Amino acid sequence: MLTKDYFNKDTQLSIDTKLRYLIIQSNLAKDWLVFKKTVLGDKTPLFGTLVGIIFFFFCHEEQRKKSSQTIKKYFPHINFSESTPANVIRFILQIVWLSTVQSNRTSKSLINLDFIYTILTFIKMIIFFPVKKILSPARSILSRIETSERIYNNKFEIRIYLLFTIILAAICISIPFTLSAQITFSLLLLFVAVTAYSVPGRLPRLLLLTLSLTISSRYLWWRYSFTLNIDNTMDVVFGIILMFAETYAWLILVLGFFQIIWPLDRKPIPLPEDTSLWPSVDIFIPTYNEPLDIVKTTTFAALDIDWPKDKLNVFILDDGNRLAFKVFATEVNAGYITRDNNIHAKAGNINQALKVTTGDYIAIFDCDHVPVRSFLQVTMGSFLADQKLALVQTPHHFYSPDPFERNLSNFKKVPNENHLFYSIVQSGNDLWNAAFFCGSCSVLKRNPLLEIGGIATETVTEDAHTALRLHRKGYSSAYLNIIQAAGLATESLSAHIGQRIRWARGMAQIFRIDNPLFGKGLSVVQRLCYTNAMIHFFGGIPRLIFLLAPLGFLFFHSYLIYAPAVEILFYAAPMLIHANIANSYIQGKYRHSFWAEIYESVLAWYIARPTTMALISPKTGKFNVTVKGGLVKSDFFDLSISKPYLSLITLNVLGIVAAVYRYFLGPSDEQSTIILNFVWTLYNLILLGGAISVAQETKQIRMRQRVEINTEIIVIKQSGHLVSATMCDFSSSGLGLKIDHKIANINRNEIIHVLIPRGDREFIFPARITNTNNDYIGVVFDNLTIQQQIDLSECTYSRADAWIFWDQNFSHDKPISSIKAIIKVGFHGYVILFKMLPPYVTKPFLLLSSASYFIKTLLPKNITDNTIEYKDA
Amino acid sequence: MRILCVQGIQSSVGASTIVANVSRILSELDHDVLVFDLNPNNLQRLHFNMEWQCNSGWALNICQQQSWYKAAFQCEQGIRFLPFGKITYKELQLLLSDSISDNWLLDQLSLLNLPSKTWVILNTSSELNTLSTQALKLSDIIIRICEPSTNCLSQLVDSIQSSFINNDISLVKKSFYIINKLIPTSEIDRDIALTLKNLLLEQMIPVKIHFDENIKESLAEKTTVTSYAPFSPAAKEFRKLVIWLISHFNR
Repeated sequence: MLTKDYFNKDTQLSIDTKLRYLIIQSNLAKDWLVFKKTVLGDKTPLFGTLVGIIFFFFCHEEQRKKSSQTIKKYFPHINFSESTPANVIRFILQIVWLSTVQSNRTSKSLINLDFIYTILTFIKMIIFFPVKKILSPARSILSRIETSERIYNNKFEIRIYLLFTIILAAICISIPFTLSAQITFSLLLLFVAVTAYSVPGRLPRLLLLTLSLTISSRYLWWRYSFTLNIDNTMDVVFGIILMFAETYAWLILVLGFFQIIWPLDRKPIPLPEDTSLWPSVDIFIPTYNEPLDIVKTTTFAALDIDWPKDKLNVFILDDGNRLAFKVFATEVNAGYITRDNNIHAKAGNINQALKVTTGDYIAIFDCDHVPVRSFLQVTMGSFLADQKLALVQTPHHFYSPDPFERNLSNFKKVPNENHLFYSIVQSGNDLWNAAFFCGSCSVLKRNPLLEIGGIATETVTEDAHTALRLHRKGYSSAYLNIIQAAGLATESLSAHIGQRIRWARGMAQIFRIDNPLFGKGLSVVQRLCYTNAMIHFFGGIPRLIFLLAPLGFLFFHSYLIYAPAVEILFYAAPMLIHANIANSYIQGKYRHSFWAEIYESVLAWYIARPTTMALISPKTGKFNVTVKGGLVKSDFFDLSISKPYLSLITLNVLGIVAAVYRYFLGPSDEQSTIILNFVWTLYNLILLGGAISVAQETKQIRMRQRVEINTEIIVIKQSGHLVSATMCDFSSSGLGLKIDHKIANINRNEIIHVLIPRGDREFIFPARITNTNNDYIGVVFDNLTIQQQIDLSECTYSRADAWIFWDQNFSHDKPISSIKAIIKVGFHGYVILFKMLPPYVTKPFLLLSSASYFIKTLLPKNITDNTIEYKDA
Repeated sequence: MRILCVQGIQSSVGASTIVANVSRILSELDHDVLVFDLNPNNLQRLHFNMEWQCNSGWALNICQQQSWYKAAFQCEQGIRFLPFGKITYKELQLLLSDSISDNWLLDQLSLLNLPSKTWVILNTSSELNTLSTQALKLSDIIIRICEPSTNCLSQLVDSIQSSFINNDISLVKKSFYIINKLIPTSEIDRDIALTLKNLLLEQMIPVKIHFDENIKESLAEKTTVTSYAPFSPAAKEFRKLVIWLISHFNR
């Protein structure tokens, strides 16, 4: 019988394999190589190796495997792969620190901060003990109410509740309180709000909105009834101006709450199995002056949309009448439509195309918005389910940073303005059947569109106006919050502001010539939603008033709010806190607290004039196209854009000076009011500093923005060797790959093929290596055929899942850390301003700061976690 | 025991390469593996670094009236390996007709004192004979290897239509297909691969093994691609295949 022993005859090994096994079996050498690789990298510096050898070989055998982690833990600030004198100093200081102070701390010596910390925790516990005791039952009550649903059949019952609520609200808002009563009242409401904040669900959401509404209405009531000093003309004038701004802010708050009270998270409706029931769709790609390269990517993606080929027609709507576009369109078998004039810009362009096309539905993509393959599959189902539906809108998504994100370097970290609008506001509108057309990434039904005379041409925001007209005719709209196309954000701040000016002017025009509050066909809620969308853009003047308001008191002794400082504090502060809590709760992941303040401050000056002008005379002013796809070649400070902010900063700084002067030299009974206005001015200065930060344009070097991705692909060398790689980023012209370079043996200018898998299929693209940088290699495609370009688009921009995980990096809003970030950004603005001063002023300071920074790196670091586990070793 | 039968749809589609790499990865994952070469072309040995001149194997031993299991090897990675051995055509005919009885394979495997949970990988010839039919019936899973070529496609369709041997449904149920030697730059290869996928649906293992110079070079070095070029796509694909196999048995 065969036993196990028969298997012991060794197969012969080649010499080098044997040698390798000899080395590998020697554990010590292997561990040392691993240690060396992790601590020193590929270099062999003298100092680092010395320390490493001592550290490694003096380690106990069991700890050796983890010694690289240990050394990194104890010397977190030292890069051992560099033998600089500074590193030696750092090492010695750290050794001394670890062996004296740090080791003492763990064994409880005189320098024990833990004791103080313990006391502080204890005090905190005593204070918060009762709060905590109430908080948890309150939470459980809230969440229990949330789960119990109740259906009111009786209309009378609801009316009774409504009446009761109105009476209660009227009392809460209008009853005058003494100061102490007001403090108690606001603290109580604050407690409820804090409790509700931590409970997820609809009820806490409504509760927070109600509380915020109550408190802010109460504030406004108090302002109107008690705080206008009618004895002094200047006080009255300034007071009324401020009250106007406050009323506007209150109105926006109320309408905004109403708009986003219950976002309708609409889901796509599946299409019928039988594709013969699917309607025909025309895809319009309007362009005017954008480069062909951008339009190409979009066209390829549009051609590749997953839809029966005989029912899908792609048209390039070229208002620039360019030959290259015509040639390209014929080449790829897309339609080409042009006209002999440019009347009414984009709207006119589309209307012209409507005359010569016949599809049942029209999908419109701005020429830089690349649709994903599933676009029609996702959107068209809704149309077939609802015959009255005339519009389906999907989000506009930008894979490049807008100027705010780029200049504040918070791309993908802090959600931008756009994100809030498309995640919450449009979904909120959708509940009231008021989701509106945004000009791109949307599908319109042809017949209703023709019925209202095509795209509206009277204003510069033709999209919103068209939607308004469709709604007036009784058609409905839908919004699907699934990113189905992605595009380029505006590059420069000036272009961004230009775009917002256009929107603001267009909205003001619609408000003037086709006011949603009046006219036929709209429901009350639709009117309110449209009104909010429009008056939102009138925020410029009120924002400027807020930025200047404290100066009224600091410069002119004018009591804008004629009340004692303490009273102002306890009326205004709860209002601000409640509004922020409610907004943070609802907008959480989609907008972080306070960032909007910076965005609005930047735009305020620029939209103030055009909106006012458009209200007075809606016909004047020219149309400006949003420029996209350009470069910011080097860092520069956009001085012309920031001039208004510089003057506002000057005024506010003078205000600070005035405040300090008056605090010490003025009458003592004014001091508390001065402090209040001082803090307000300081806050304004932070916002303005933020505006300055935004104006510092950071350079953007790539013509085609690369999009991050993480997919396994294969590189095929000409020798026939395959190399596995990870695709890290892509653009329409090339890829960035990660490869273990030493193994791959890939050289610059090498011709390769790239294999990208997508589902069951694989696609091959010829390419060339343009740069190799350690394990990162850059690849540029070579002479792709038309079909290959379409395939490439299918593997990159237009994968159905291309943008699905886009917002997973955004964390939920944390108001406190948002404040910190805002202060940092504001401060950074002043650093930028400071650096622009002549060198003889700034040089000593810069030297000082870099010197102190260097010294700071030398200092020993505290090791917080002293435990190192050796279990696995 | 987990018995895995690896068979090419036709000869030279890379069955022995797949056997070698799968066994190597399994043993790296601390599984016990026995590779049993049932293919008279006696090529499996090359992947396990046997001498070119070495003719020994279990079939040769039987022909020479010795104990067949004395031809067994154990590689330094722990893989147990039984080469077929070099025999003449006459000897092969004799072996198949006289020495190999109906339940020969099962009997011999149960005689071996193998640790429980050993993976027995049978390299089976694509032609049907007493040995290969036994291997097909005995195995828990059959991995059939296709090349994305027109003849392979045609053979595959034939074999599916006849449900391989004697319309045995149980064989159809446990057989899974994998594409090997897919030349990435070839359009026809990609098209046939897609056709195969659409034809076989769930029976297709969701891993494709691309044609790679590294695989050829590794055989010239008489080793597996997983040790010759551990970071190559081929090595990764073989690892994916093994993961699929393990999860298939755990299901």
